[in-house]
Amino acid sequence: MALPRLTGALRAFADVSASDSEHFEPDASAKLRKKRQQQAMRQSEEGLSWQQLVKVIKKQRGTEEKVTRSLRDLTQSAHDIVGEEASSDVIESGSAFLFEVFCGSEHVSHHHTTKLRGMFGPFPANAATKACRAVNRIAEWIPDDVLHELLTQNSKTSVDDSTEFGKNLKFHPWKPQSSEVYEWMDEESSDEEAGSLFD
Amino acid sequence: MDLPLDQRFKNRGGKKTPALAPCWMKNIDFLLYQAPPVNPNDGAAREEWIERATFMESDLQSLLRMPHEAFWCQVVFDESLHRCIDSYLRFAPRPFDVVYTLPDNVQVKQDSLHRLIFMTCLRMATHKESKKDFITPRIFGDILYENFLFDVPKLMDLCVLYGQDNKPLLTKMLTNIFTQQPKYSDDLRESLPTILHVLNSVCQKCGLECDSAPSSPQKLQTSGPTSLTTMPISEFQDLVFYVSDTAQTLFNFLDVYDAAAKHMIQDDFPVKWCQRSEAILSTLMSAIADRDWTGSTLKPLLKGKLNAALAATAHVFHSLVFQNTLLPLMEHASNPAELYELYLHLMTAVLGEIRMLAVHEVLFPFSEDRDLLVQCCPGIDETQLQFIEDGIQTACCHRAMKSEGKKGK
Repeated sequence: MALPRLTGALRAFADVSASDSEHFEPDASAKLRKKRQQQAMRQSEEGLSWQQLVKVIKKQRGTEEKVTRSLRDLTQSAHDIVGEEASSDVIESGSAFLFEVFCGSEHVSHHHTTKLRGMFGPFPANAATKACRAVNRIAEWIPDDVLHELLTQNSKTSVDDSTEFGKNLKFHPWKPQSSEVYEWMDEESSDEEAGSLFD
Repeated sequence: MDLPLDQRFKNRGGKKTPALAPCWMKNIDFLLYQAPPVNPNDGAAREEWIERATFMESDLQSLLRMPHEAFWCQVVFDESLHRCIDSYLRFAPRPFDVVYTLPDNVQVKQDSLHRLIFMTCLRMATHKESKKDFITPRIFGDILYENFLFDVPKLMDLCVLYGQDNKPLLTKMLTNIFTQQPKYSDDLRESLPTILHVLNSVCQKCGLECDSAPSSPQKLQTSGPTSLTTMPISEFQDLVFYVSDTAQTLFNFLDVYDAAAKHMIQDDFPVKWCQRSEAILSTLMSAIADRDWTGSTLKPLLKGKLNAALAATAHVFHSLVFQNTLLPLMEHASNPAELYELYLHLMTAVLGEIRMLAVHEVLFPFSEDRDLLVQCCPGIDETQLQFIEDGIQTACCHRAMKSEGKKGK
């Protein structure tokens, strides 16, 4: 529960603030899900796209059934990780992201789960394991040089090298107020019951 | 020559469109800030908080990396950003809040958000970023005010959150905001009755009678102390925290931007501030002494909060007196007699508030004021100054005697 604040009272009663400020999200989880999907979409714009991946693998292996099945396994895992209500665009960009994350890794590590949680929020562990297996199968069918080209061509464009405002300004981090500041007020009374200056 | 942003136009689909227009805004959808979870063992809440904070962090970083023009389109027209900043200012932990240790990964995110919100507000308070990136000062002031980018509560929150550690930058920010938009000074004046209203409502909770007349709140002998000693501890604690927050917020605000004191003198605000605060603080401290604290460890914490509030009250009073009387006298104002009379009035009116006065005397010795007044107002009748000095000495002796008495028991 929010602590009572002077500025809270000023917002409510002083008529000097915007009246429509909402500080309660009726469905905070839905908001987070929406953000995850937005992020997945952004990832698809900046990183490896599903279409690129499919194009490369089909060029290498045609439309063999095992290829199609592995791609389907990957999108199914992405569906489980991204969430039930995600659109096909979001699932595809999530699949491409999983490919980038798991490519070259045989197991799901802590590093991977952190990365996935950062992108999708909480997710079922077995879906990550399935995705990792599918990615490894797919990666095996792509020659190393093609795979390298596929994974690096997009990362070059996604780097934002613009300077962040304030990056060079000296900023002192938050620290709690020392309780010693007011200890002198208690000095004149050693009796605990007497209490500071209020007797 | 480069034009200010407010006079620039861009081509949009063959149409001449102002450079500062909602159509240039990106769809970011900033999230609201929530205070870190208190329970360190609640892993799910911690993970969710970190995820939320990471999104906020990433969005704010993108915002701060935007070129000047894009930044201002976002800042002016994106209501989700307004709510995001406001939620941080409202709910972020204050330096004087009870400290609880956060897990490292939560603390790192909290620190990052703390810096990013500050930098966002700093950029919002800057009308000239470079020779080519600037806004006409008058228009800048209107943009801030009309879009509620800043308002009095937000400015006070900023001072509370950042004043302790980043005061010089914050002082520059507030000076620019108040200079470019004088309406904020009007708003500050309009906020004073609400500040007194807050104190009045606490007076009532404490069982004190608070007239709107400029007299000191009177203690009721019947219901007040009883209810304060028997009310649930959570309710009592909220009351103490509220009083402490009120005093410390005003103190931090005046500490960062002392020029604001010039707008806080009307309707005898300094005197009412002292009288109500003292009545409340001494009543609450008596209640602390009288309450049964069996099974609770809160007593020292709440006592410390009240001590801090009393010191903050004295600081606020001093700032209001100094900025409105002594400082203009030092700067050779044209109305020294008037200023001297105001000083006498303010100091005489609070001679009954012995606890505040005793602390005030320790922090800001009257002898220094006296020397300054004699120097700046030659030929003044020092009888009244002597009267004030006697009053202060009496308050200090009274305090000392009380303590000695207690020690002798």
